Amino acid sequence: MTSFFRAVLFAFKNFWRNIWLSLITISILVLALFSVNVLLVVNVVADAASQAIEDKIDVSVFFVPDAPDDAIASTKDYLTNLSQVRAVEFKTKEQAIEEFKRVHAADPKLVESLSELDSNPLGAELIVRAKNTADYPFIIRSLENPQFNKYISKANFEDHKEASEKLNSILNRVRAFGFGLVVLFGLIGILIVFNAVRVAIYTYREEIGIMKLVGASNTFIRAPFWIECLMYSLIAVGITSGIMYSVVLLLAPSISVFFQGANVDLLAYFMQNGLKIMGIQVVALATLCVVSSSLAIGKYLRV
Amino acid sequence: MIELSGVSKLYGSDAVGLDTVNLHIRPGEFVSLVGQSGTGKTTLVKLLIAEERPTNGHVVIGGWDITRIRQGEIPLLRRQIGVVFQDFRLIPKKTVYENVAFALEVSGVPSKRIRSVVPQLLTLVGLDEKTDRFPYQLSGGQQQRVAIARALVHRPKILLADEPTGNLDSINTHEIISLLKKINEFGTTVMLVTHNRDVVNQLKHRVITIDGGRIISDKEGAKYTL
Repeated sequence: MTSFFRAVLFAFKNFWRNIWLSLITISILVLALFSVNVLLVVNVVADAASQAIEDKIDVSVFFVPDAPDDAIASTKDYLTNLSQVRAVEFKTKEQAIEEFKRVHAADPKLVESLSELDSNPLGAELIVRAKNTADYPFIIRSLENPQFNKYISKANFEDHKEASEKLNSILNRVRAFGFGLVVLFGLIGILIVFNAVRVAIYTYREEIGIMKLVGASNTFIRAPFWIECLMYSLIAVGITSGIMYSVVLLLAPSISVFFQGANVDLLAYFMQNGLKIMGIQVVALATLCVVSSSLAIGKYLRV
Repeated sequence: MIELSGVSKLYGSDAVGLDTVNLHIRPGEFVSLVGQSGTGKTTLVKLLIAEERPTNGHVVIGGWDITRIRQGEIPLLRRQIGVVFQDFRLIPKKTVYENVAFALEVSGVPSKRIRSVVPQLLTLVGLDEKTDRFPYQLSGGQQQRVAIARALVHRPKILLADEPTGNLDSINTHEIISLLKKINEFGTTVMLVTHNRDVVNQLKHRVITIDGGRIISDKEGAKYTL
């Protein structure tokens, strides 16, 4: 226990007596973490934006004008109960014709022609939103069941199909690119941290030699560096989180305005996941730091 | 106390550090190991503190055969042998007191004992009034005295001094040699590695001369002959 407290004390002394080296190492760690965090923000925004676009996609199921109410109700129930379906909105025949008139208000001839008809030519409509755009073909296929099919005049998914497929393809590529960037920045971060720690240890090489000379065990020599690594990691993550919080606080309103209507609430995301993100970063950084320092110290322990 | 039998150290296939060295140093002896640069003096010191392993032969210290010592046992060996070097090897960012206490701290010695031992040693080497100074605030001789105090913290039976006066002027050299003699009088075996002719001639103790990795002379009360 005495040795443990001494290792902690040595770590604090090393930190303060080499304050410039400590600050430089922490700055490098902050830069590495900051780049990873910026990428995280970009991913969150990209995800939210792509989700917002996906939310805009829906499929309208048009019923024939004389479709019985119970058939429409059972179709709606069936769709609502599908695990792939997120929401089903019902539009009556009356609402359908009102909307038709509103949409075509600029074409009075078309609107007038409706009044010449004896009855409402439009049927009721179900607007279906899937959880995932890839699920629309399944939903449409499931409506081909004769139980529903005989009352359905049209399901307009084919109109959206090409656009939806293109969008899916773009989103998949954006996500793959984002993942690639995360991996790349992660690797760059690992190299930066590894080298920063190696440089820090290099400055201690004589002290390590002296510790060996006076009979310190290898574990005792390593322990203060491990503790220092933990200190560096905690401080670096603390500083980075502070910077990121300020940046997010500053940018969140502009981002929300930019993605009008989409639910891109960066601040809420970080408030909700901040502790988890910080915890993961502290553990990852400390592990990386400890491994780097152990490898770097090993070289100077052979005396 | 120290016994080397048939010890050789080769670096690569043709560079000979030591060549079949046989040596016996008794407890309480003061021995000077002399020789020109590159003759194997420092190699011998490195073998004694297990910084290097012999290619052939056996090295025994206090009855402990350290020829194939395990890594985990090296700290235990080094707590039994005090070593001082020409370049002092003090930690620049630690005070005099901290440099000496450090050797005890890294060995897990209780703080109470450290507080009792370190002032005694600093008094022995005459630095009891400079405990808060940093190495850069001391003269070379004073720095070497700190290194000697540090080497003595574990009360070693053996003190190895590798060119301890190499960086010192004649006055400081005299002070350090006097200190080593005093330590030897307390019963510690001292091995002084040097090529300072005046120091060796003044000591009039056992002198071992090494050349080309071999012991060419081993005489009591001898003088520097190279």
